[in-house]
Amino acid sequence: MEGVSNSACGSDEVNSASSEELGAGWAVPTNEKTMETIIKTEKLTKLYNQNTSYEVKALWDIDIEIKKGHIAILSGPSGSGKTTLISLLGAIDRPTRGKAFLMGEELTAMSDVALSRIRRETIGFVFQSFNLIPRLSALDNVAFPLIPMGVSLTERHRRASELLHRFQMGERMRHTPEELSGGQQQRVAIARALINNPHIIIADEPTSNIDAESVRYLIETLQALKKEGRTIIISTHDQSLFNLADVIFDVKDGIITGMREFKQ
Amino acid sequence: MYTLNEHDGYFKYSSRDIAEVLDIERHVNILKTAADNVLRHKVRTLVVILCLLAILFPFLTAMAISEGVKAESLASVMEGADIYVTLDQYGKNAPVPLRYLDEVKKINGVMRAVPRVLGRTYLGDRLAVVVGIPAGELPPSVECVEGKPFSSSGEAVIGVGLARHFNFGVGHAFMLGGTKGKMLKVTGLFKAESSIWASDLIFIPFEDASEIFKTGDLATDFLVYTRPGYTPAVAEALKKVEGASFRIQSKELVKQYFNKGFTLKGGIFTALYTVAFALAIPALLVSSGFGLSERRREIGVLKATGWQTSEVLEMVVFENLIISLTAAPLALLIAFLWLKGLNGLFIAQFFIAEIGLFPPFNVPARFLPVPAFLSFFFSLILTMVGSLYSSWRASVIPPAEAMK
Repeated sequence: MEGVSNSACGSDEVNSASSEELGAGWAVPTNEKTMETIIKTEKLTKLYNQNTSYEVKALWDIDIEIKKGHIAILSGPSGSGKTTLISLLGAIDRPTRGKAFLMGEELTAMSDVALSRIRRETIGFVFQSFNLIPRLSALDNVAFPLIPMGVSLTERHRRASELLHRFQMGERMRHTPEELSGGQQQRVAIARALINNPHIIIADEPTSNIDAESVRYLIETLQALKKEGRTIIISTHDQSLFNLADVIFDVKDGIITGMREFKQ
Repeated sequence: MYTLNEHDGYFKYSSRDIAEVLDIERHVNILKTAADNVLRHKVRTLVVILCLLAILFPFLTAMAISEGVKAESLASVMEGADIYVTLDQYGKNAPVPLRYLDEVKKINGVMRAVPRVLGRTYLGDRLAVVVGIPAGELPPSVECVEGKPFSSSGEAVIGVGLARHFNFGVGHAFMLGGTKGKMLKVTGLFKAESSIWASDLIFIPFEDASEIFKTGDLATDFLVYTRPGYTPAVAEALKKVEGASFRIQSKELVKQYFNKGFTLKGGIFTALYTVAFALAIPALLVSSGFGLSERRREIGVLKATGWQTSEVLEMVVFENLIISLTAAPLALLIAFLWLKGLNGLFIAQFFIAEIGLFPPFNVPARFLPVPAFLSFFFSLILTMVGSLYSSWRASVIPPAEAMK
């Protein structure tokens, strides 16, 4: 990795809550072993239009590590490769070459079935354009990841409704995305990302389509999620989010140009 | 504000546990989601169903007419004579001399032997089938709904369809085309089981038909009615009639001809229709790219949130099943209404010769389970071909790409 030490990721004083602190029934983000690497990449490369005259090096030999319970920010200007990198880390895209590891398992060697299972059980993704399904209500948008898990409609709606209420979207949960503001759509997208209680939350440019009030709300939400012990990876060039970070990776022209660590 | 400490037993089990426990529930969920999708995408659903109806209902109508005609034909065969006797001339039917009639009547087991002259000629603008038969020998299925059967030369009974067309009633006189002054008086109007044959049929005395068609001492055929169980023996005896080389066709044989003919016609029609199905509509659906980009994006979102490819495809299959289960009965209903309300307009002419766009009689129709099942099967295949491959393609590419 250019200009970045692979080993220097995260601080020794990560704020992560134990299961006991989090309350009964909460099963997932237990940091038995703090400072455990949750995501690691080795020479991760993504090329578009490979072997053509239009070949684009979106990412080139990326080596990073992200610790469990940390907030990692991928920072850089538009077109730097942040979204591509975050898509690869979130297992929604495949690299041209190189490796990505999630909790020690090599993502890049996994089958489609295994990757879907990872996305279902481990990762919650908040997309830049939210990617809500247009004709579904907010409630159904949040609930649909539970459909193939055999959760009944009543239970799906109960859980989705609970999340939407906690994101102050209770009164709007019957509305379709086009009837919601950008900030409201984002809250729905965050609720959807959380419906499966994932270890890792990945947010791509979460502040790009929302107003200042919603940005403040988002920051509070991310802090709360971190407190729950979840690992959060954010791609952004919005400096208002930098205060949350345990580590910031600077991305430019498809390579990591720097890394900054913070003790939170 | 959302904090974990506010949870009151929010998640009691891991998602893996959920997936492993309620497998049936998973399929039921996907089925319900598919039903929701069908309802949500109203325009897409409507277009697909209309496409299917446009193809299925003519198919069902045509098959019903084909089956109806076949059933009527078989009914008329069953009501007819036990053996049809003609002369064999180079393997074809030829008129039979009347001199053999008495000999045929004498064969053990023969109850009745009736000579018949069959011909076609114009009545006004309409081609009619004329049957010359001795007075008192009208087939039992020919029932006079008005008037009575003819009893002497110069009289006729005609089908109600023909009578309605020319506004004929009992007592009306008419002249057949090419008969040069031979007037026939209507003594009765009849209705028969078979609306096709009855509609253009005219029964006249045998001698009048001989005169009109100039058959002399020949009959088109003999209708031989046998005692129950005697048909094979009578057929054998007919072969031994001295000096005559009869062509003998039993009721069973005629029935087989009809069955084979109609099955072949129906089979060819179904095969051609299947080819049209298989080529035209998927090509239309694929080339129009109807709803594909929206679908692809939606599938990308599903995959990104943890749906498996198999689950996406299962949902698509369920959607197609629901659409097919809607389209097939609707097509059946429209076919039924087309036959009952519009009397098989446009479609009947492909199965019944010389009736034109507007059938002059009640087109026979019979709905059987096989074409109904076929229509469901066809629509399922069509929708599957139109959607399964594109859905699979959208499912197997990385979600990030599908969502672009």
